[in-house]
Amino acid sequence: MNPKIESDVKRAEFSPEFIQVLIALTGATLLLVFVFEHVFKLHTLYERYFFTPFPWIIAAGLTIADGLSKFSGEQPAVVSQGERLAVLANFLIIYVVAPTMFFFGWRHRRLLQDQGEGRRTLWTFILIVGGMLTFSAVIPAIPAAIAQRAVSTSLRDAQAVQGNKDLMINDLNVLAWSARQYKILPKSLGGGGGSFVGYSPTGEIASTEEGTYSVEASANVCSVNARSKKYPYATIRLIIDERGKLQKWNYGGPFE
Amino acid sequence: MMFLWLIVGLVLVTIAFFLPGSPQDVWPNLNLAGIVAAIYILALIAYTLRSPFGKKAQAIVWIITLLTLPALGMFWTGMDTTSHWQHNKLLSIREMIGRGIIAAEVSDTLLSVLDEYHNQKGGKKTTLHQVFQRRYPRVMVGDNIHLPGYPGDSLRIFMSSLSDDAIMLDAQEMYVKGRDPAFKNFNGRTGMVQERYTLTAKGVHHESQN
Repeated sequence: MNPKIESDVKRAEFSPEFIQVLIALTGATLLLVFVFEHVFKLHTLYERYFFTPFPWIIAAGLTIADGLSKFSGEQPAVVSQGERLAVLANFLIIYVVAPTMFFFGWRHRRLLQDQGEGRRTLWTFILIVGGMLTFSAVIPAIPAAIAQRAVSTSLRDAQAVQGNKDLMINDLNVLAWSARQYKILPKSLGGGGGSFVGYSPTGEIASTEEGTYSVEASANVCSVNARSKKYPYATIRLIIDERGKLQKWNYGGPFE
Repeated sequence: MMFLWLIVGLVLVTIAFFLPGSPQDVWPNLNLAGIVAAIYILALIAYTLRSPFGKKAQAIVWIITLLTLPALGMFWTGMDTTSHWQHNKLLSIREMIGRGIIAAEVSDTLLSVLDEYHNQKGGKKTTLHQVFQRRYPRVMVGDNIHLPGYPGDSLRIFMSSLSDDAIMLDAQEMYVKGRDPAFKNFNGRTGMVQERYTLTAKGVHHESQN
């Protein structure tokens, strides 16, 4: 190969004109993502079939929607054909059509440039459209991946504390039921004969996988102290009233 | 040539997307399409960055690609695992709430009967069965005694056995899955949460069946 031609080719790779196109593409993509995003959100269809460079966000939304419908006691949600096609269309545009347009646009523009062809408008247009869509996925990819990991970790940490709290509330309901039963049963059957006095939780009620529970009983009221086994500074204090209802909840530590 | 690449890419990714089949989950479809699309993008870059592009341009594009694709993969798999974790967490919270509601509702029902039974004036004149039927007239074995408290309330409390000295209730959720997927529920469903409570003069006995 002629050394002079090789040198010209290397210079042409990132010519000032191409760098300008790249900067314009990056700016236009950022404008598209951050400025015009709220305009698209106004569209009523946006919430269900919105356009995103990350179609797995739609899939995650469908998975959580299925969980919520089961949570609400409804039949499990079936992903409709329309929803599948929306995910697929989104995916094809960003990860097949856009990179194909970008790389072929770039290549053909470069080939025409080498051949001294002046008319490169069509391939420049293809390069810009493909580039804007491709860059909308490429630019935020690394920050989005880092943010996703951070959000996921904090979500799991918060849920671990909340889960422990919820299970301890369930344990306290069982404790209240046990105390009320003690109060109802006559002394001949090991109960309090109309009083909580003498009630003390034992066995699986006093200590569960989630926490430990102690009671100070008077005739009509039980004061309960609960301490988490998983988060030792997390506590719940409350009273069981004469009807066996849990009252005056007081959360301490991480449960606050 | 661009259109040929486009058609091949669109067809291959679409076929990959529709290969796995799960009516409730779009993730297997998306994951397979993602693998095919990643291979397509790598082949596309290798093809379009040939000569006359020099090594500098190729190196820059490959470095950006090799940074971006794993980042997208991390973001993707992170969303996959997190959304499924949230889905399962919602179900476990629902199961926990369901068991809590059952414990509160059934124990209240049965302890009210126990209270009335032990506090009859002039000694025990009526049986547990009679006290229960005074509170729930016309209830037969197999009937649901739970009145829905909110839209979507899927709790059922079935009277499973009734005798003079024992009352047995089976509380069951209609859509909330329990521990054993093969467990046969009271109403013929399988795998749902079910708790059994038996009331005798000595108190309430609880058995978590599923």
